Amino acid sequence: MTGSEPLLDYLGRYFSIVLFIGIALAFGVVTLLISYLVQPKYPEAEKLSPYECGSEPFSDARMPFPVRYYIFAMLFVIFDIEVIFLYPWAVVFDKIGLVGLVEMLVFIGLFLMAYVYAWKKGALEWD
Amino acid sequence: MTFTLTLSGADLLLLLPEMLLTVWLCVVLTMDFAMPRLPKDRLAYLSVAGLAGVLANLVWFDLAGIGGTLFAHMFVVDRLAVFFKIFIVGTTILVILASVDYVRRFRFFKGEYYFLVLMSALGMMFMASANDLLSVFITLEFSTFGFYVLVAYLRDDVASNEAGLKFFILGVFAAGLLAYGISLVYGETGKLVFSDIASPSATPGLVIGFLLIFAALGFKIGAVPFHSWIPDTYHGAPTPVTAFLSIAPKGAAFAILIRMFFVSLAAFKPAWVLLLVGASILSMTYGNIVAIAQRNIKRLLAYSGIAQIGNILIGLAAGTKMGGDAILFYLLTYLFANLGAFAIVIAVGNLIRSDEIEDYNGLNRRSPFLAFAMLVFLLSLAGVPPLAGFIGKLYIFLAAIDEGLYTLIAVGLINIVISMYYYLVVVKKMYINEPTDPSPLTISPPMKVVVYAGLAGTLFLGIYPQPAINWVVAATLMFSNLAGPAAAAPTLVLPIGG
Repeated sequence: MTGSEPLLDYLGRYFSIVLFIGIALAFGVVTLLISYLVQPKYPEAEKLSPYECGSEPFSDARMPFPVRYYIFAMLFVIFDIEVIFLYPWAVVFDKIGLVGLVEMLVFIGLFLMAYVYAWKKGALEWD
Repeated sequence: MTFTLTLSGADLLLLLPEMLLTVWLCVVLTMDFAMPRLPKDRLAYLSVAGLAGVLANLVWFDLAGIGGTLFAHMFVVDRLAVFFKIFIVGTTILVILASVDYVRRFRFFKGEYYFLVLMSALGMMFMASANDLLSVFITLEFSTFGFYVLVAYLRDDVASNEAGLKFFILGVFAAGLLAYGISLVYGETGKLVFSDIASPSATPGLVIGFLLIFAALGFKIGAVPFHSWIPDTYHGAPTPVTAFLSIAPKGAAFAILIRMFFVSLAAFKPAWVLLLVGASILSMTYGNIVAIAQRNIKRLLAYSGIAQIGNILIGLAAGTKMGGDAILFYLLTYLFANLGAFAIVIAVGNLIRSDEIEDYNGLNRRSPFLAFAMLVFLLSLAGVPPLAGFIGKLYIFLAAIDEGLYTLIAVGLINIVISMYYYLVVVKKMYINEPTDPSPLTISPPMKVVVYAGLAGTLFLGIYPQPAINWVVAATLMFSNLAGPAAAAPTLVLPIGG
């Protein structure tokens, strides 16, 4: 990369990305458009109802519901991520040796503390 | 590509302050849930004890000159990083002491408050050591997470919730800008470490990338035009959190700004001086003019904080070693004066449950000590000799004179006059107006410690600044090769004191 490079040449290097974005957009629009134009249309009540796609909605989804769901979901995500971190660690374990083992024990130790915290504070109780 | 993890004992030593604080915040949190009947004040003193240990460790690093880099230069320990860590830990100690009374008012999660303050302090300590754009991103987010929760801590208070939401949305937006800027800079240079980025030419991607990074850090320090979250967030947040937010993150962000501008972008100085001069003039003028109209003391200090950031940006705009020294010194003076002023606001707020400036009427009759301390802190913020703020402003203006930034100095001087007005309005209310309720006010021992520390710092730095000047000069020695006529005479020799 040199300072004397003209701006157009500089931006030109991004042309393939712009082209790709254009093709991606066009693909989506054209596919939807064609299927809309060529599809046969026979609307009737049974056909417009959700078929094998879950039950009929019976009320608005925007209603207050217990915040506990979030707490459980959040705890689940945190421990999920812990497991994800364990995978690469296990793969390179033979290369990083004792230091790696201690590091991971510290990491899991912190998680354990957070778990005990959530437990003691009653976040796992459903009352 | 092979991956190896090697950490020797000497490497771990560099991380010792952070490791100590990590262990300590785990201890504080464990004590909180393991002993539910322990008075929460004890947790505050336990936190302060841990921070004092970290502070002693950092002072040892500074005196022994321990330094080095870790993790492929992502994490650096040098005199500059140690200075900012001492700044952050010192601020945290005073903020925790100032919180003890306030935390009693919380209905929930009293113990976690101290844990979150310690966690934010830990994040900011890492920020002071960030030497690489990735570690800048991670540490900045780490330090801000704690603040998101702390700002919205008053769960039943609408203003606190609004403050938290505003801070969160704009903080996340700034994080997006930061990540985008980093990706552009990395795309252009293929490097992440500050000292490697120093590119020979300014390509458009590099310019836009660094502008975005500057914008994100501008949000963090609250420089105009990135200040919009400051007034409402400072107003709604619990007052000790406001005090913490107005000082410690600014210091940590300036550590990153100094490294970015003085190391990565040193070659492009003529280009960024204009940017910083503009941000500085806007921040000073906007902050000071809007502060005049404020009726709430927290909002007044919020706008005065924006103006003070404008003053500090003068040092960055100077772009010399002396400018760096002046930033560090100014931050010290700002720490004592601003934290002191907020300590008075916390103390008065605890006693009369109001932050309106009207309610400071006749404070001198109710508590001469509080009124006198507030007078000293406000005059120091305004820059009146012989207080710390005067030396700070003098230092920063001298750094700018050496670089010939006369417009900036003229605007700065006019702004000192404007700021004098609104600081003195508060003083007038405290000393001349009649109190509506003349009952005397008394403050608790921990609060007294904070106010005395603020007074001591403000007076000491104002009357005998030489030790602190020597310290900041030593902290920025690595910038002594920066171009500029000031390089020949980098230290400020004062006619008074040393």
